[in-house]
Amino acid sequence: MEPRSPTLERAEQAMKARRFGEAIAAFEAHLAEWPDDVRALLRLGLCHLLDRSEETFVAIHGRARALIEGLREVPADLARLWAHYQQLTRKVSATALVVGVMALPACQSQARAPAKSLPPAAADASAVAATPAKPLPPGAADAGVTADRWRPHVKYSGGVRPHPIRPSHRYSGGVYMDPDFNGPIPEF
Amino acid sequence: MPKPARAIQGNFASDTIDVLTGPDGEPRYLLADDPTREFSYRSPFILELEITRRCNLRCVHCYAHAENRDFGDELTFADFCRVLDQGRSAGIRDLSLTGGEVFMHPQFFDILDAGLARGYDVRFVTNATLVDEPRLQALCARPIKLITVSLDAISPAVHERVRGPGSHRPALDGIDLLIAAGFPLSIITAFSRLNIEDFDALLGFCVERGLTWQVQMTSAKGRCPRSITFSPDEYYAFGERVAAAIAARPPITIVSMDDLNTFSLLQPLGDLWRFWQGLCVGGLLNIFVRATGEVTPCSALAFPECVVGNVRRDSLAAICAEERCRKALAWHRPDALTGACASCPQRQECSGGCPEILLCMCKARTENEYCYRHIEERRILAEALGDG
Repeated sequence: MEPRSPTLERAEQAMKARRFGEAIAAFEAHLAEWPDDVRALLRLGLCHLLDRSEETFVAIHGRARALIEGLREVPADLARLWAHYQQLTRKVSATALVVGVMALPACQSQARAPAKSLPPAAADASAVAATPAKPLPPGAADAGVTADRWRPHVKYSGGVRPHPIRPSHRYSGGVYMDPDFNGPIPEF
Repeated sequence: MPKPARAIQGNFASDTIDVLTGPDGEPRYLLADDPTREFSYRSPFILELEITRRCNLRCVHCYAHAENRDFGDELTFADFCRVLDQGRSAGIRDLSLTGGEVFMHPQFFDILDAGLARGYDVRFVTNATLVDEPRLQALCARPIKLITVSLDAISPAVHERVRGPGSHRPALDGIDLLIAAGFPLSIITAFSRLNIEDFDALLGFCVERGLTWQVQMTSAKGRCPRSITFSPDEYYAFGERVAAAIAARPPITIVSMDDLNTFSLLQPLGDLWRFWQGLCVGGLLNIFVRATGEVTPCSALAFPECVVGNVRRDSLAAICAEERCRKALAWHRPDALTGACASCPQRQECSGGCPEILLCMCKARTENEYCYRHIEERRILAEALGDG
């Protein structure tokens, strides 16, 4: 039997309305009172995923597994939700793996030339400010472009490797990565 | 026996651009091999020139309503020369000729030469059905940076379902001629419900021949009926196929176009996000001049509301200098988003995704239903709360 409480109602309403921060707080308050409520725990995890806290989402997977393994019987709706969570975890874990791989210093040696060398991957957004400026190609200094003025664009920080793009237009060439790019694309 | 024609090799500038953040925190686009060249709305990377809407085919999804007739209101050769001069004044050095079908323009080679004479690196788009020996010989005498061929299927029946009867064999023959001559070639495929079944066959075709493959979603504009375009869920499945193909590390480059590069929470789909450049680069890296003279930020944005001028009365250089493309896309910004996009943690970096999709595939231009994260969120909430 799923424990119901006004806090849980509030959490679900917030989740439905995509106010994930509010939903997380309410689910946590509910779980403080009902720590064995697996459905609420899984929904909390999903809110974290949708709020871009993949690590917490994956961590909750372990907690939920322990609770489910302790159940004498798993109701059909919970089994379905758990299967969905597991499927998402496998695919999200791949993301975590990519970020982890990119954080390895060895990846930097994949740069094909000094001009393409990578800044150390930032593990999180807070590390952006610490990311060294990208070394610039020969000739840059002559043009008044100095390394300390330029950093990888913010989109490519936070664990995502900066990469050169090859722009053209929609019907001829496209925008694509350097063909020599040999970065950490996950293998399946 | 005549010697087979061989394409002359040009000395082309690199296409590779670094996206960097300048001291003001804004993204900046510098040519990787020559950072003295920076691209902006004032000086885009490439000029796309639609030289005619006349076409020997009548594809069901054509955005330009192209067909084999005289449209009457198209730019003249003198107009094109003026536009090319103005583009150079704006600092543009790359040129892409498109149509319609470029070989249907009686002065195609004159326009090509006009571009080359002005120092452009020239590429063009074709359906390849009109590539014969004389045209091949003429092409071989000119340095061409890239030829992009539209090919929508390998199966004749599927290809002709999209491009019309008799279009398949000549296209493959044309591709073979261009490959044999040694031209840098890429294939572009616009996927819809009509040809998605040929995805693997097309991938195999490109891998066999070592061709770059550009993939995109057919969108409901021009004469393309909405009924053949993907639903959001079909779009998601299509994106998964593209991402899986890239993740399998084929020996060719697969180019996923901007409509496919939305954010995803999951892998391998999430990998496509790396191709999104942080904002729509229409008008910034490319600018499009239609055969009517109308100027839009991108060939994908050939909508009346995106027209920023007409080269019959406006100078292309002035259009760039006034940053009209930036102004025309001012609505495309994170704080204007609504619905699921408004609460998305990724909104600052995508602004809702490709404006073309927002304008012709979505209910509102401020909320993108063709976004992987949007679709994933909908599915997760339905599963978690049981109200789907």
